[in-house]
Amino acid sequence: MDRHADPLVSHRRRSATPPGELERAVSTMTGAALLVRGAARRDLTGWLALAAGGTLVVRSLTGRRVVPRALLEAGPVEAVLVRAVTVGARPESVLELSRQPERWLPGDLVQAVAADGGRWRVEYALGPLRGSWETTLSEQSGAGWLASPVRPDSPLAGIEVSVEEAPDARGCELRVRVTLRAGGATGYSLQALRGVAERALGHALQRFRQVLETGEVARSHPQPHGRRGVLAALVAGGKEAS
Amino acid sequence: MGKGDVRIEEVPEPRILNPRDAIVRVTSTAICGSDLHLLGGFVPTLQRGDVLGHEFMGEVVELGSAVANLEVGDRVIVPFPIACGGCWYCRQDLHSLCDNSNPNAWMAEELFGHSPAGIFGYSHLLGGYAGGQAERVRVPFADVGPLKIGPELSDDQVLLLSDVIPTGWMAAEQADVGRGQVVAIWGCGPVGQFALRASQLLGASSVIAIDRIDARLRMAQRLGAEVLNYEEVKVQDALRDLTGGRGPDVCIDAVGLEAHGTGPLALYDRVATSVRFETDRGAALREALLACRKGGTVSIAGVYGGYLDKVPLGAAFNKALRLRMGQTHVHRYLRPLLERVERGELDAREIITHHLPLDEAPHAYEIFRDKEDECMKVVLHP
Repeated sequence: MDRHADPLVSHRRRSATPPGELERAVSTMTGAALLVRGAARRDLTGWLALAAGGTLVVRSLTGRRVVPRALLEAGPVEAVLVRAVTVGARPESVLELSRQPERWLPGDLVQAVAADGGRWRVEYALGPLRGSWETTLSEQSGAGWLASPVRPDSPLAGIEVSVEEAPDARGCELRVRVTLRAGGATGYSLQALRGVAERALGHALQRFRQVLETGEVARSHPQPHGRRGVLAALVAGGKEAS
Repeated sequence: MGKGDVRIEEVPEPRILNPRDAIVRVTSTAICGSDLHLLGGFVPTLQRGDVLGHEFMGEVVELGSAVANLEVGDRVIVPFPIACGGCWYCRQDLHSLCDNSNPNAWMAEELFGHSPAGIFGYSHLLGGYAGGQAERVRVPFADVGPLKIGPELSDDQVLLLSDVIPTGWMAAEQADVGRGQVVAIWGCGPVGQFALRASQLLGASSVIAIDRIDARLRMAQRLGAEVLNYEEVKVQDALRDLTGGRGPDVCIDAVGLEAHGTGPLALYDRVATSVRFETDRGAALREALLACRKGGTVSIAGVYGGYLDKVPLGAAFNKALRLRMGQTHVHRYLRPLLERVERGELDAREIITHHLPLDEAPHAYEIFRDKEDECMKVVLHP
């Protein structure tokens, strides 16, 4: 994206509106938590946590806004996520499974809502972004398919899937392109959490490959473990046996 | 447990989570040098409460619905890498690079670019699987990894096929050790001792073993190696003398990221790792690269986990060295090395110095870490 045309960048420069009390309180608490975490570690992540925590605390105490209001009022921004995975299977099998995301994405994330598998409801939770959308197959061929949202204002603007044979009898390459488009706070979150979304897409494709190549999704939770630290217990969120 | 802190705790029983799982009742489990890397905080993403242990064997007590090659009651050894058997890497016998066994592959991708296989009890970066220093352990892809063992061999004879024996073997094999070659091995711990035996079995004309612990050097000497104590001699000079000025044909680093070393660079490593400017200490590897003959091979069997400073890549480049390394593809070595164990060519009983109950694991870690009582290898029994 052209940096000068990026509404996030231009708004960041001219923002001067002081944050509200709630935002300052949240910044202070988050910053303090990061400072504690950073102080407890001697490694690079600890130092990064210290830097981030310090920034948040200073900004909240000095009254400088962490999330400028203008950003929250920005127009639509678009994020395109592209990931590929090589799968040891025939293209037909890859395409067939790709049209059944409920088999390889977590069951609580995706449900098929049409008997022919051409329409899905996706429940998503990406940081502060939570909601659901429905998408339906709009085009398909022997080499891929394209899905579009049922509601045109959905932040999931499109999913494009293509499959081609990989060299050296390695199966085929599945390439997924996800277009996200939104304005305001949602758009800001999309940009801020783009890395998380890309990682999530990569993780989804790994699960896809696992289902095709092994018949199951690799899991290491829940499983036995001893007493966790407070932070690890919070991160696990009760997913593990204790 | 946390950094430097090993404890025994009561935890829930493992459960079958996938159709290709098995539950194994552990009869013997060993402490590995790389468990010390985890304990020392050298491998990121280990969490307090994680169950350690990737060298174990036992009896199958429960099977998932898709495991047809094992039966409840089978006695098995379990390879430390977890491999699906179906991905491209597994089909190439590169099982420690399995594409599908690490549920936390995204973490490994952040650090390594791509994810290797999951490993039992070896941090969340490599799967977050509970390890085998326990009474029971869940074994994923049990139709691929575990190897059935008959009653005629004792646990002590076969347990180390789960890691140390294949790791020593691969160190020599991947360097193409052959007839007439001179092999130098840094580190005379269990992996170094088996690399020594492997080099001899593959035809090396002589093996030179380097360490600073007398008991370990004596063991290498008993097995037929020339030995060098790096605190008493200049290793580079000694190796030149022992090889007619050429340098060893093959140099095996069986030490890895916690190398001690001597001199200013060793001090640099201590400081740099303590403030996390580097994660690994590379004294053994640096020396191996400098000592190796022109056009020779440096084979790395010791574990490295992150970033290493002051590596003389110029030496490697200008001497046209060949570098080989990697976590061991245990699955491909299990059957042929079991045959060598059966023939008596490889005997882990020489290496195992201590047996302790699992309840005494904290003490076992201490004597293994501090090399007390000439400790070479500790086997724990639940």
